[in-house]
Amino acid sequence: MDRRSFLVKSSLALAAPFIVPSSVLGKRNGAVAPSEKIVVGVIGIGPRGRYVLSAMLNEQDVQVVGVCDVQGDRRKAAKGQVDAKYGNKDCAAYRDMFELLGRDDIDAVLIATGDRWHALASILAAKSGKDVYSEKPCGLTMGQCQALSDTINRYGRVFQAGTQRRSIGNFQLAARLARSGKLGKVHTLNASVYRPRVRYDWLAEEPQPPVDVVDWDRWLGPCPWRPFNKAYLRGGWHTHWDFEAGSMLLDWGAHTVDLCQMANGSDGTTPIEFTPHADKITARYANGVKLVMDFLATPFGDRSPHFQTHLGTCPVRYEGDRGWVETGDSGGIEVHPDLKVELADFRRSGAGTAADSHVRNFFDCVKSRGLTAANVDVMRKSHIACHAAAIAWQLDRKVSFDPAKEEFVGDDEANRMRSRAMRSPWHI
Amino acid sequence: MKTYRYIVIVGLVFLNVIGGVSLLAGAGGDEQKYIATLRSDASLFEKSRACQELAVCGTKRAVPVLATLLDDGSLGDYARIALEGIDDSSVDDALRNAMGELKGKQLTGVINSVGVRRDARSVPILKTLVGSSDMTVADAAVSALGCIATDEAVGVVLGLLKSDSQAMRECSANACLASAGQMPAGRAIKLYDAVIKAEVPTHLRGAAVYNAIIVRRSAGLPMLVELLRSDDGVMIDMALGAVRRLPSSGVTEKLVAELPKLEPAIQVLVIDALAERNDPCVRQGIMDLAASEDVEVRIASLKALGKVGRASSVGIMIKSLGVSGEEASVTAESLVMLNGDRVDAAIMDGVRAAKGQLRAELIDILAKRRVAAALPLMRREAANEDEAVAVAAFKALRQLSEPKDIAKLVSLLVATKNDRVRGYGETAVAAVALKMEDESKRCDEVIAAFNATDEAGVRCSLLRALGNVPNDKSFAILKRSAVDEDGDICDAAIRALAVWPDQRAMGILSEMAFKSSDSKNRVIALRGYIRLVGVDVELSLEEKVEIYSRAIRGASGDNEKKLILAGLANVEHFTALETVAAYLDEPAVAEEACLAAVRIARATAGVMPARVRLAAQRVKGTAKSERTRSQADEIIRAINRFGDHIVAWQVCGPYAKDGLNYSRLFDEVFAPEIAGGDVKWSLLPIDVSNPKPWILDLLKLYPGQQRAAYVRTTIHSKSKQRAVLEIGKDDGIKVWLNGKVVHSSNTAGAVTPGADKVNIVLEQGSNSLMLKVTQNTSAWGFCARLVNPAGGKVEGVTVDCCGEQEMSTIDKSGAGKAVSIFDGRSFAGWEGNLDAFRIEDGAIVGGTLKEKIPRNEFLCSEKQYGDFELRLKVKLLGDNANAGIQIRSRRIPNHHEVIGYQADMGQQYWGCLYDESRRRKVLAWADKAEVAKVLKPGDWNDYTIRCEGKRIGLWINGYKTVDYVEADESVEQVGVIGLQIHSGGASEAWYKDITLKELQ
Repeated sequence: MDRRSFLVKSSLALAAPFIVPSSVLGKRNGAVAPSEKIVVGVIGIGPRGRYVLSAMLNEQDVQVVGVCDVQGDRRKAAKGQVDAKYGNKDCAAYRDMFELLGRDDIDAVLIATGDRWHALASILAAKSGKDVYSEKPCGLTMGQCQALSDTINRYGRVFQAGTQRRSIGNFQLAARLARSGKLGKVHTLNASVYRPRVRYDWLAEEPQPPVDVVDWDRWLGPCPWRPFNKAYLRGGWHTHWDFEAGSMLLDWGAHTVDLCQMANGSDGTTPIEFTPHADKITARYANGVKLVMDFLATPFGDRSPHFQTHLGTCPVRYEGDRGWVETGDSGGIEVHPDLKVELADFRRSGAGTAADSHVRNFFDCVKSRGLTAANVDVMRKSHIACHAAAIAWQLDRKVSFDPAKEEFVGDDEANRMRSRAMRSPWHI
Repeated sequence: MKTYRYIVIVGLVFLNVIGGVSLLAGAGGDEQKYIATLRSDASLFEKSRACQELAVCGTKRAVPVLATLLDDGSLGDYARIALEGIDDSSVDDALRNAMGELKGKQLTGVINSVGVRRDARSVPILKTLVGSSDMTVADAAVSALGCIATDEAVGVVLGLLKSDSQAMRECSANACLASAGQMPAGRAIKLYDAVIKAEVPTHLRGAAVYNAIIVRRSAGLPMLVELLRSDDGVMIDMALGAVRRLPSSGVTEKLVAELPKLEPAIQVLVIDALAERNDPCVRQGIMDLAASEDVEVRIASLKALGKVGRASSVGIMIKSLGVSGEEASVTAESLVMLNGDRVDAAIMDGVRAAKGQLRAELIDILAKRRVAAALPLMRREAANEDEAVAVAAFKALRQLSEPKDIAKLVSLLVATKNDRVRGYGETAVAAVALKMEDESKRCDEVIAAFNATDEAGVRCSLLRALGNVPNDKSFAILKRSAVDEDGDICDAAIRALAVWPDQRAMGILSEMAFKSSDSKNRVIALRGYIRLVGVDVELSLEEKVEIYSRAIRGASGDNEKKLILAGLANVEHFTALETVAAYLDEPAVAEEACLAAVRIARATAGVMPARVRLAAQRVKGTAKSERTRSQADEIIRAINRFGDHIVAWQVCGPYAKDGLNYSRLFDEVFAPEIAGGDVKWSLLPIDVSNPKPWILDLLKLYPGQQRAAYVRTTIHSKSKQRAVLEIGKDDGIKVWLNGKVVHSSNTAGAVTPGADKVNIVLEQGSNSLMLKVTQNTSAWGFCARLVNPAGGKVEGVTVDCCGEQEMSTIDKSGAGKAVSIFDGRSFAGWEGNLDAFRIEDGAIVGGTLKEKIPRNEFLCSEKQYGDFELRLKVKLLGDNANAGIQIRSRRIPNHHEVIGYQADMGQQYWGCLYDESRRRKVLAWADKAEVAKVLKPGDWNDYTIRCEGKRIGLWINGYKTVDYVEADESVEQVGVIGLQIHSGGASEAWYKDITLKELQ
């Protein structure tokens, strides 16, 4: 029996890995034999990657065996993190992701590159037979999100988008209140987002470092060529048209719009109309519900008047004709005074940035082949909604959208903005 | 010309960044301009931008020039960005031409674009390119054919599945899957089947099988079943995925029918997957399997029934509930989850039909389902002779009963004869009594029942219930009963008092613990007493140690000593460790002493490392428990790693403020920065299990983001000497030594030990050191190491964070106490035009409401002040009244005006800092809207003015309105305080409770 098959079957004998709460799975007491572990590799690893990685390293039934980054120091730091956890020097460090993807023993990968690489790396991983946990935004363009979703489904892979708030108690409760009718008829969903920004300039050319320090060609990947500048490497790529998804709208929108989709029961669709305003983008679902993407001037500071600052970053608010609910990364939740009773059993479970339960949900599904909390179909629609909103903002006019065809209605200009050619030789 | 265009583009880019409006918007008419740019000798950047614009606005007019760029090493990719977006056949013509001419990377790019555009006319060219010796080109060509997916293209790709080259076969398999994905089922199946038979890696064959099954719909079942029987894990994965996604129409039933034939391990997985299909027809099949011979299958089925079951499943589930082990527990969980009409009723029927343990479990399930309608049934069952049933009923009643039901519950308890059941009755009564909103009435029913009976057993039971419903009435009854003649009643009362939650019971427990003649009662009372001492917030740690020390010296038996040692274990103070250490040599209690010592040592290792290490070494030599010894060892190893790091810290926090992130919190002044600020310091625990135990973790203590905490300690130096503080921080850090800021770094990032090096001078004697550490997101902590300027050990220095020395960042000497500068009765210490000022109700009043105020008037302090904190209460009356408090000011000789800063009040000026008779303007505006939220117009308001060095801060009612730093070196920073009434309409300015604290 091959190792993978053993993995599938042996997991049964210990505790049937399904329906049971995720806490049971993989958190069995005591050590798990190496042959039963899910073997994981990491592609692209900066601060957020190391954070998610640390959640993965805590899982008893997971073994991280390799990390890959085009930056030498990040490679080294990630290897150090893994080795420190396991108390050995066994973690392999790669510059070239194809070496990692070529390993037959790896079952799943964590993709935590910059936006520009998410979809392509996820697709390459799926084609190599790996399951994928990808940080958000999962695709730089609408077209990439579609291709990613098609590919994951075509190859029968398990996919989790790094929209971990789907797996966190306060956000789940807020969505449940909206969907269960406790708020009455829901009419407005508020998603906090950054004020969109985009820049088209190139930073001044600097001498290119040796390829082992930074592999600039690989860093750029599918994006068009531009001269090297080290400022891009550490987050400086943000807001550049070629590198950032949807003019920054997806940075939070991939979470908050996604949560609104969940609250509206709209995981299989998107709004049908997007209108940009000075301080927000409004959208309308076919069921009449309004989605408001409120631009926050100080996302990490004062979030009033749209949101209650004390609820933390990435807030969302759902309003119905009988009440409202609002929640955010603090883990807390606020409701209309009449709805307080709905919070009776609520226990604050932690920060909205925590990836633990989301990561666990991914590994449970790697074993059972079930649908993850933020599966590729869910990701597709909520990301497309964000991209459509970004395009409306870029065009600075109202656009209509057909959720089934995933195209703008009678709007050639907008439709042409849905995708971009990739730099040779990359394609999806 | 070139320069001009450059400016246009750069200008537009600039606008873009600032305004956030896309360049692409309204660019449609600019196509000609971009075409011209591409034809000119414009820079690479300009041309790349032109291509990106043409991707949206370009038409066939742009194709010729874009086509010329396809062979350009840098611009080729940009040209394709434009071309892929243009919906015109001339693009395809151009790309086909280019395929004939280009090589290498440029050729690959063009092939990729051809694939994206699905240009069927390219197939003949691609057909030749798949044979290219350049593998990248060949790969691109096969992929493009896969995208195009015409019969001709597919024919080529299928042929390549049998290629000699492994890489080409894989490439072709991927292309087949891509083609099939866009085809109708009939054509797609052929492609999938071809890949299944090909010599390609399992995961590709797996993907093909997966799709082949799904696309065949119900006809895919045999394949699926076969796959489920596979021995290959990859294939099983695919099969399980397919079970979940295979479209319905009879599939579920057939799968259910196939289930019995599968290997049990696979059955289990398939049951789970089927349950997710949410198909009602699964129910019967799964119910059948709940009777499978294989226990794992039964468990999986019963679990699945929790999702797909309905009232009709209750019967079979109750049967499984009667079995033991995991099967029963899984069934219980499923019964709790079960949805649907009449499920509750079916379970209640089940209760009536069941006996013994099963009956009890069903009652438990009803409680978990919160079935209020089952309350009468539960009350009946509480009197059931079967102990288990009665216990379950009382447990359920505890959860579901409302306060209005309390009388019924008390009578059930009174009627209970079985002691064990009675215990649960007591808990239920107490829990429901506690649900009552009116605290004073909670015990009334219980006390009434207590007074109504003479039966000792019942009375004891009610006393135990009262112990868990603490209020004045229950305490009075317990206190009285603790000296009852009846031994059992006395015993019950003492036990109840021993778990009493607040300090009221301390007196009586102490008395019984040390004076009772009954040894059993002594121990019980002592246990309660020790617990209450432990949770007493009024007692200092030293006092607790003192109480315990006295108790242990007077303890008569080993049990008592053990209890006290356990109490000491919770006192995180070094003296507790010393007390405990004395018992390490007393064999009967040594093990408890070791446990306590380790616990205290862990908490205090940072405070007195050398002495804690000594104690830990003794524990290591004494303890019998392996675990205790290794814990002691861990402490010793941690202490050995401290080196020159400062680990003895007191901490306070977290401090946060709405709207301020970590960066802005950095300069926000919180209580620890204010002399005499109300701060509760506690010991900062170190993590001895951390390989770097000297990195102090603040996140563990205060989980969260966007906040700040302070830590402080005292450094004793034998002489005045230079030293270096080497700091690692996460995120921002500010350092005060003896009240002066000596370092400040407001940046985020992880702890890097020694990244910040701060040169300091230690005074002879005590030096106070305080750090403010801010928190952005994720990790939060710091480390600090003290070395001499050469990087070596600093001589003659000890660190002690528990000293009594009052530390303050501002008030170095501790002498700067706030003093009143207005006595409430006289103008002593003040001077000015006393026609304009009077004293009324203990306040200074400027102006009058009876007539207009002809000119500005000031009442000034005789003394001058430099750095200070001034607090006073102010009230302003009259329309459009204005006034203010002059600070650091002086009078203009022979004139009624003064020169200097004014903390303004009135109209829109509340909380602003104005410069009177000097720059004559508002130096710093307050946020009017925010001030309006805190200001009480026409009433008393608290004004606080803080001047320190070049910085002036103003607060109104605790809200900081202004934080101003003087940039002009020539402006005087010392002067008098002056209370103003501004000229204008009839108005009065009231000032009282004026206190001033000089800083430094």
